[in-house]
Amino acid sequence: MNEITTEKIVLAFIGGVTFLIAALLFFILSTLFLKGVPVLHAGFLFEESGDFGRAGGIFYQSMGTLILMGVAVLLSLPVALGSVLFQTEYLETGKFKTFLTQLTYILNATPTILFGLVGYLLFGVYLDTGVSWVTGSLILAVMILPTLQVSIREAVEALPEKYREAGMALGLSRPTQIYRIILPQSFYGMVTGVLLGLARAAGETAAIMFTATTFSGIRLPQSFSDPVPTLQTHILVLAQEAANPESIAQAWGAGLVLLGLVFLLTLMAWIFRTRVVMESEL
Amino acid sequence: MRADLIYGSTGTRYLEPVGWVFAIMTFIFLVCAMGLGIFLVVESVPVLRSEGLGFWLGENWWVGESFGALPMICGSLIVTGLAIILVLPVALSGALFTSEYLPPSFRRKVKGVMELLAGVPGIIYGLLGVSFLTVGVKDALNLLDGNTLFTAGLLLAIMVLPTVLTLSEDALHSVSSEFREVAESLGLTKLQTALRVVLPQALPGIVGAVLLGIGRAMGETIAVMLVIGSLDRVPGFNIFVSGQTIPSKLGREAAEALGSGLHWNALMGLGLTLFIMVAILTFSGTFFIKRSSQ
Amino acid sequence: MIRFVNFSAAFGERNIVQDLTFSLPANSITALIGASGSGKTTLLRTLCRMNDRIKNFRIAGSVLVDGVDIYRPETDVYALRRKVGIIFQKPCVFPKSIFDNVIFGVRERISRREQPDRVEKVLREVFLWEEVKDRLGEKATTLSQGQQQRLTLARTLAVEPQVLLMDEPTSSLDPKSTAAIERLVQSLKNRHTILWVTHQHAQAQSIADQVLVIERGQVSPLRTPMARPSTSSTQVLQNVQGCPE
Repeated sequence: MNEITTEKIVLAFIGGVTFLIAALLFFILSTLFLKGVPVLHAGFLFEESGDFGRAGGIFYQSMGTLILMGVAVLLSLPVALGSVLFQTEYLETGKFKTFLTQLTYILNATPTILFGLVGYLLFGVYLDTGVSWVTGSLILAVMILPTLQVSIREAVEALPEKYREAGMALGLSRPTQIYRIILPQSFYGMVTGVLLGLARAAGETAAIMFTATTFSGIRLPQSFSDPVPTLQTHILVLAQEAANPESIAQAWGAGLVLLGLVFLLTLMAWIFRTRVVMESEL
Repeated sequence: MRADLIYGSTGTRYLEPVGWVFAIMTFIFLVCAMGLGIFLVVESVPVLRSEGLGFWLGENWWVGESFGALPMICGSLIVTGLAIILVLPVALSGALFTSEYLPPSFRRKVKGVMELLAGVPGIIYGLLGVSFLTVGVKDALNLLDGNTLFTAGLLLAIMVLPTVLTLSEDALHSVSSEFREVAESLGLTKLQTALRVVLPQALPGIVGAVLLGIGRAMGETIAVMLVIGSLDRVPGFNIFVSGQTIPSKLGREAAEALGSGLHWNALMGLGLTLFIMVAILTFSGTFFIKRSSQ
Repeated sequence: MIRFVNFSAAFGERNIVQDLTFSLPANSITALIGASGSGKTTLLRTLCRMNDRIKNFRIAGSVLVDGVDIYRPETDVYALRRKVGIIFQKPCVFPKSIFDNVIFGVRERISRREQPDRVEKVLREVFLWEEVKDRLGEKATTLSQGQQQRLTLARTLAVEPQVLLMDEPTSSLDPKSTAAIERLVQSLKNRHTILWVTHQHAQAQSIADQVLVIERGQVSPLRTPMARPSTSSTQVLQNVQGCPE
């Protein structure tokens, strides 16, 4: 009897905590929605911002975010794909291969602001790209590299061994084997990686706020050395004017758009990930 | 046994042109990853040379005079520790309930929402923190200023909750159901089974999940920067005062020092310190997981 | 055609075969029988260097195909594998159309116009043409196991190998498909050197021109069943003599 009472009390406790977590997260999402939606008028996405962000829309900020994350993925994908294929198809199991895998995990655990610091020095100073969208894209490209690598590697390793063997037995050369068997099979992994990488780049503020972005004065970059406005830094600047209700309201609107973008990318990545599972169970 | 097996047949060792392309990509990856660590060390040298050990032990960060990182180191440790103390019981309760008691269809929904929330950008949490948490903490505790170490810790706890919860739940759920059946057939209650059979088996995975959460909390810049008050002083035992963490300091001052001078080197030194702290955490965790899985 | 000279193979410290010297005559069927774990699959895979990816695999001596040692450093393994085709125990078709599966190994090497002729030719050789000619675009995974195994054989034949290695190709098939494969291999032997690995004595003796036995790392020709009793008949003998088990 005593045992059962304890059981019930503990169950009630952890059930209650779970319910509270759900309530908290529901509160977060609904707050964003309730605060953000009133700001979203018809032209919000397509208008220039005005009065230091207190009025107007977020068109150029959205463009800036899209430019940075898009270029970052374009730069990151070939490196991620090449380095994964080199590891899975060319390198023998050994210390160097283990080292490369470790490096991916270390890079993944590194605080993002460090990518900003070192990236600014490496690209901004030594490559002389300064505070610009090019520097920002390069930094984000390195930052999302592990995300892409892990997704692609998972997909390549999920490929059943029998397909490799069948390809080998037919005398396919290694490049042909990669082009005909490995790449088609890892396609969904690449798409998942790209989408998750885009989501990660879209949500990043610390690494780009002092290396690539500006609050006002620039619309679209006219040269390689121009900074861009982004949603992330827009929200950051407006959030620091907490006393000003118009600024905060605009920040909620921009926040909702950013969150929508990140969620959309993540959900799409899931759809493709389920495809990977299906293919590998074939 | 024959001793003269001539050579290991390891396949072709030459690289095709495509192989060279892949090798170059691997080299770029290597340069970027290693470059991160190397630059942090090299660029920290000037400030370490001028401050010595005082860089880590000094309490004063006055640009142009002295660079002491102790307030930021303490701040980082306090805020991260606070976040973990707050998140651990909550996340584990949630994980246990989700894994062991929720019906499968409901569980999948919970997991989906958690994984989605794990990707919410730090800036969004920062915005929520500025708008609600600082005010809430200020009113509830009757403080003059809501921007405190406690606020930052609480915000980080909320931020890493979905990550820690969903990964711990993965660890619990992946324990083979055979063990549960055996335990229940021996007359253990469901709770006893969960605590005495499932939890110990899932421990390495849970430790991994918590470490990932700590790492994320320790490195978070934006959310912390907006609610911590940015005051460089060694906080002592009072957590209800403004403070500073390493990432928030970096976030505040990187734009001013950009790229040159001792101030920049000092920030790189802070970056190196943060990197080492995260590395120690990760390695000790990996070590623990290895020990306990033996 | 194929000749092993003082050949040994080992996984790390575990020897698989030791100091083998024997040869396989061209354009005939040789069956290789042995218990499971006796090394027959290893020996077979050695011939097309499919063991290269295994870390601790080591060999000594030489394996000659067409008079050339295939383990010379300058060997082109891909050309070798095109010359020496292998059929695995379980049919493995790619999740693609029947046509794409058959053409898989030669798509880069023959022109697009030649492809349909090649597909028809090899599908006829494996007696699959009549069954699939109207649905070449369908997924190969919709075929039955027996059909799939014939398809993998067609896929290998499309590469035009001189040697065919069969690794228990009928062990996962029903009797009818097994008979079909056996008949089919008989029809291929005047143009290919075939090495067929099996663990069934009866199958080996009915299809092969010569039968080899692999046992304790050694390969020897099979004498008649009476002269060299199999394990089961040894047991019968022991039982007759009243020996305890």
